[in-house]
Amino acid sequence: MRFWLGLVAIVILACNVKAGTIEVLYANGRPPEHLDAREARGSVLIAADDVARLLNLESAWDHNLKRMTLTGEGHKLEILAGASVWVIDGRTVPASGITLLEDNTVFISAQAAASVIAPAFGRSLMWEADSNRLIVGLPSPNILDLQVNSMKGRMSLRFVTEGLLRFQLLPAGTNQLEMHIPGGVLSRDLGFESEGGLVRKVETHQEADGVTVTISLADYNLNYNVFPARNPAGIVMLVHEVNLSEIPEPELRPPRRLAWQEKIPSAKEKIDLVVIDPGHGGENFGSVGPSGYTEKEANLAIALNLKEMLESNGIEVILTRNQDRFVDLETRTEVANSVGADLFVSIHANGYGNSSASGFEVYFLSPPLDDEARVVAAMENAGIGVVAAEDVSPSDDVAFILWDTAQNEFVAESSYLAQLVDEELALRLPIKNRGVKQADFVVLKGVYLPAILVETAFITNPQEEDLLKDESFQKQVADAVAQAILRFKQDYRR
Amino acid sequence: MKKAIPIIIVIVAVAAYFVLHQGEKGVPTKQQPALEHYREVTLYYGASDANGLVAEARRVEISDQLTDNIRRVIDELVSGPRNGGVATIPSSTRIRAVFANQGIAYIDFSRDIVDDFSGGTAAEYTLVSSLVQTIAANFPEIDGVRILVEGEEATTIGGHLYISTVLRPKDWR
Ligand SMILES: [Zn+2]
Repeated sequence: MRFWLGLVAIVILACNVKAGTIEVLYANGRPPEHLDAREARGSVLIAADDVARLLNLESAWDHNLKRMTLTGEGHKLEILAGASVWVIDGRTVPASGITLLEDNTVFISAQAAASVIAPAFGRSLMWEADSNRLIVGLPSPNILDLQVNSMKGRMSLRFVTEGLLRFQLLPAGTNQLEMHIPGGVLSRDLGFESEGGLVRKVETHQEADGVTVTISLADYNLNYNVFPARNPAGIVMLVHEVNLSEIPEPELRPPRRLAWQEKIPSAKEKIDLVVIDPGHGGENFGSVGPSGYTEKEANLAIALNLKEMLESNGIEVILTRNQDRFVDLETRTEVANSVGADLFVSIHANGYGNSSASGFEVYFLSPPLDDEARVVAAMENAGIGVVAAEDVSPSDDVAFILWDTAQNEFVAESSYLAQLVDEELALRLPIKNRGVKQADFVVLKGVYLPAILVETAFITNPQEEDLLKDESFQKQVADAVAQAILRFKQDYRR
Repeated sequence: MKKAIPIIIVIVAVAAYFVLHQGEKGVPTKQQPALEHYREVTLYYGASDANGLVAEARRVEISDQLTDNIRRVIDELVSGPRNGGVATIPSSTRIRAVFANQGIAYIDFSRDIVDDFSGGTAAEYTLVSSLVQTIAANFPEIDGVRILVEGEEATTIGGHLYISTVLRPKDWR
């Protein structure tokens, strides 16, 4: 054992030291506590014993050598009162900050406890000098990265997280939003600035109880959606330009607090997530019945019923619209892909130029062979064998082409789900079963998960228009789709 | 890079079409077509129950120009059924141009095909299939159709089906 009796010791005389307290917060939710502290030369000092306790380490004080030893996790740290170096696992390192010896108690700087001692033991401690707070047991980072994708008229931000994290979105002034991620721990500063982008600036702040993200948007009409995402886990914000002629609510406003924002279970809990897409909306009426009932109304009513039924069966639901609002097809697809859902179900009502056409039908997507040929050609062109869809960013031609045929991988699941929905509808609806069909739907095309489109009844048929208006029919349709999803879930459980 | 190629083909084809058309107009006084310049063609309209198509025979004046003939047949189709079928392409729709290249017919419609379209997947599917099958039935040299709207590629007519690709008769029955 080597002695490190520092001759240049920075030992502060007790008379220059002020006593006080600091607050200790626990990231795991334990109630906060107060700790005796000293202040000297602008540094806040805390007892090494306390540091050991907070970090769950053994501490031993050698009165003769004036040496404090902390051990734990196979590591050892020796602090010699008054010495200019510390010894960590036999290595000498410069002593960090001021050390104070007071009545056989070694005080070290809170900053050093957080930045040197805790990491030496693989523990986490954070010192907030501004607020004199020490945060204990901050888990390892769970906000790992921020991926930004910019396309013409749209931009997406994806916070890649370890597991699902709760978040809250609040307005913070003109064109500014604040997102709180309680329990969030940043891997590093994830902020950025972009001059011409729809998102001008993102700032990330690590706080004791989580992370605050400030998002500054360009000061023109933008619409945005924020969703929890899975596979990979994350929080996704989609920002897109608003076409004023299409969107009835152009000014930026805080989104409604949606149910799922509060309901995301803890990271390890498995959840099932279905995106339901009520077709049309806003200026886009879809088909219109002889008495004037619109497809967009019927679609939304059925989708809302379906959401309720699935949620009561423990399945999370995200709607691509939850009100009478225009949403373009790309956004619907983007929502489906970005939230990491298990299934995508688009709800429509049929329309035809002859009022006698009747019945329900269920579609899944069949890309024409031309597209497959195109993919092969594009891949050969780019010299790639296999590309997973998650690995491609939609910013180059090849990726776009692959994205186009995203459904190829899910044809089996999609057709099976379509089959189940058709069966369940047939059990409940008093109208003709037109069967399961395949077609090339824009809204399904880029969806990278099993996806179907349900044409519930012909709104152009007067009897079926009446049915579509009828609440009990809307519920029957929703019930059929919900049952089919539950059956699908059971059959596809791994 | 790949994506640019079809567009170039389209532009070349459009140019070729207008050049040819211009030349034709340079020919002085066209003769009144004789009776043998009429041909019986098959038009496809929607079935009343939205299950497939129904054929309707019609006599149409023809020339020796493929694209002219395609235009005349589609004009007939747009004019609507006379025999119980269901109309597919909105009757307000104009055909702005027709050209053909390597077995693909490019048909450039006015905006009305989108703006005046009303209906669901059934109506939209029937519109596309009636067009594709009508061309296939009357022009064996054509094996695919591309729909343009106001000279540009269109993604969809009614918001359901994807049409920005070569539409093959086997895929649209
Ligand atoms: Zn629809």
